[in-house]
Amino acid sequence: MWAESLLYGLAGLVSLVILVGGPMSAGWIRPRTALVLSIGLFVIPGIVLLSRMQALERAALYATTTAADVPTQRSDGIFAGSNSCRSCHAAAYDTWHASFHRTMTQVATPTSVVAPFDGRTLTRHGQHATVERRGDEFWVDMVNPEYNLSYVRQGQIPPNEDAPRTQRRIAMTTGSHSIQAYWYMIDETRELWLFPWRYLIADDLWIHVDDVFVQPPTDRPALGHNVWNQTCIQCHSVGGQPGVSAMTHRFENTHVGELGISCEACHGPAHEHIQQHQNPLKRYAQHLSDTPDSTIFNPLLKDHKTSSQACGICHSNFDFDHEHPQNIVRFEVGNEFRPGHELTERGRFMTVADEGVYKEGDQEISISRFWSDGACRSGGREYNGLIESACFTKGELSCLSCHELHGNDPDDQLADGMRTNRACLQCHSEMKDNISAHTHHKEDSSGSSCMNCHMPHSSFALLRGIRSHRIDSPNVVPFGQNVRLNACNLCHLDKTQAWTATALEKWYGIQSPMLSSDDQSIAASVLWLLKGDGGQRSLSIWHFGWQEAQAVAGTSWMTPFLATVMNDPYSSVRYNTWRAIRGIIEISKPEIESVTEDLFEDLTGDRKRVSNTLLLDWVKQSTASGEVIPEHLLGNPKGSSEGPFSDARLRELLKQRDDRPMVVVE
Amino acid sequence: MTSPESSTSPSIGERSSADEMLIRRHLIVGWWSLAVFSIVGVALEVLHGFKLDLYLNVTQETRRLMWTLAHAHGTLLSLVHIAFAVTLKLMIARTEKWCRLVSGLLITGGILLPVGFFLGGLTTYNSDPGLGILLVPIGALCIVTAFTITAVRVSRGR
Repeated sequence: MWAESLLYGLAGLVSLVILVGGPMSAGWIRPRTALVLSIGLFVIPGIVLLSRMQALERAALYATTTAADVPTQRSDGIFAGSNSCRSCHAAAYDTWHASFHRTMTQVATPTSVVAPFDGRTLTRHGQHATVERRGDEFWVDMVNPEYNLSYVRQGQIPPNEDAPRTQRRIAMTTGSHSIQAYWYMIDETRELWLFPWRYLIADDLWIHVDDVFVQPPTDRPALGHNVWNQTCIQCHSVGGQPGVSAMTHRFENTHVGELGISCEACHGPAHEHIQQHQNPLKRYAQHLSDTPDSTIFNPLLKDHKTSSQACGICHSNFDFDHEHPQNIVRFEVGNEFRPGHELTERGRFMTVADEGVYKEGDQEISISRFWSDGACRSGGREYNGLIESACFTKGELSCLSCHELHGNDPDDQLADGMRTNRACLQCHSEMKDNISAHTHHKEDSSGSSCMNCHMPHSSFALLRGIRSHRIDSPNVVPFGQNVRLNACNLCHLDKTQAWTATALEKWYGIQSPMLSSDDQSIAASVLWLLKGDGGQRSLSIWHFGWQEAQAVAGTSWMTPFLATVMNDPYSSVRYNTWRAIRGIIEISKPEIESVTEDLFEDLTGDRKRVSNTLLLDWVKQSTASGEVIPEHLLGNPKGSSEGPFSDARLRELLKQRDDRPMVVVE
Repeated sequence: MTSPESSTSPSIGERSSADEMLIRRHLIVGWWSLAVFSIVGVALEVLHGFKLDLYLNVTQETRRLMWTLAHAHGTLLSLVHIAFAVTLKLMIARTEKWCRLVSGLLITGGILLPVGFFLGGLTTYNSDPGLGILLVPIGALCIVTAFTITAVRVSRGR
């Protein structure tokens, strides 16, 4: 390009000499000839040079992944890449660029990696890993994952003594909002494998993959074995093709239109759109036309069902129909759904009927995606909830009714005002002037927030409660296996389900169900926390740390429960318990550090020591203050010899804990 | 009695009132345009000063570009009018047909270019300006033609 530019500069100089010098040196060249010659010398090479520059610029859009251990980005004459969109849609590009969709999958660079690779050693299952930075590269030293996997596949626990070690360069990252995960390539199969530790960004904490989800404790360190090219590529890139070779069964040709979730994930492939719109006449014809541009998908111009499917392909529990002719070769060409396609033609949405178990060693583990009422247990699957909501089936609610992908809120990508009741009042405007008449709560209270009742945090993902997107009304279902936590008691943690059922019957005429004695006499949150399954417990304890619930239910009674479930077998429960404790009790920095270190594996005993201390301090203070803990919160009558709190009742409930091993699939 | 030389090639000092009119026309147009476009410049500064979304919002990049171009072209073409008047005064002995043609082209182009850019920024389609931009190529053609004719004539010395 430099040589071409130089030649063009020379041609320009000569043309200038001819243009100016010709007419001035009389007789050497006629002015008109000089003009024609100089134009020829300047304009024609100029056009050639510009064409060359344009070709190079376009090629450069796909030159961002050249490393051998990262999937290739390429157009295939279908995708154009977000850089191409930028020149015409700069503002839309900027808002997308600020989003966490963009950074979902990135090449590992000093800019994209957010975790400290500072030489520290991470420990879990008795295995160690070291993370370090070498120049601009990120490396891990760990037990060879293939060694771990060879044992786990046979249902055995890999011995740690003399376990072979390996050093791997981190090639790629996924996530950048809450959690970041790191990937390296297995040369033999060209699979991208997950480094077993992830980084919790807000907590500045490395956490083992076995602790990130609601899943039972395990001794098998390779439970988190994942292959990016096989699964994640479908939603964490645009137009990802696993490229598995039918001959070698290796991921010989993994490639993507673009890493991360970029423009063409929601708007469809743009190569044709760009080609067509380079012609200004076609562009202006489109501007002046009333018909939508057929070369690109614009969700805003589509009906609520079609537009939401563009999100639903990834934000749902969707089962691709492997018998469908277009999906048989999915491991070769990937998921070929494009925005505007009909999703149900390519598979089906999973339901509660798909719940099942799998065996790991002699253990049967329940795979759970749904509550017994069909609502999603995990976050990130909002489309399943949406399509079951009356607002969608009877109304025109779409993802874009509340979410704005090109707005100012990268966190949840909500449009202005959509965190408030304005979201629902867009349609339900009749309630605007007297919302208390409907909610029976003060107008400005959290009880009058439409979402707290109709979209409670009854899903769980990324170690926290997530709002259910199945918009429905609160109701009480007797406590039991897989029963969803009711919205009212997620704020009124200190009340029983019977109390809630009475209020719902009085206010809304909802008939109270037959409730067990526990449901009548013990606070709902306590039942969920002590007797529930791993998922119910995780969600319940998250609400103990939720400020809106704390404001309603108070916090002075919580300590005995928090101290107890600090030793819950599920990491997700312990993590959220520790979060709740730090929110309501002042704890010294050294103790925070020592307990955090001990949170996921009992290494030092500090977690047990601190939780015991917290409990003893609370008992002492409560006894001294004469505070009476209500019976439904396991309190004893005033003056009881057992103290203010019935530890015996707590232990009794704890014995009834639902210890079925279960995984909430995120 | 007029000398044969003066009848074909009058000296610079012997201009007709038509010549003077042409020079005066471009001086007037040039200086008034400068005055107008300096006011436009102030107006754009005000839009910046008050951080008005209609001009500075990231979604209004096309409008900002169009109006900046309108201001820049208007100001520069004002100077061109003055330069043309000075050229006539200094170099062109007698007004010829081409001078009137160039004069017309400069005035037409001097209006169409900035107005085209301004109208193009009034309504926009993403990165594309509004239909007012169609005036720009016409104005550009006038200006290019005027500059080329003037360059050739000045090169010839008449």
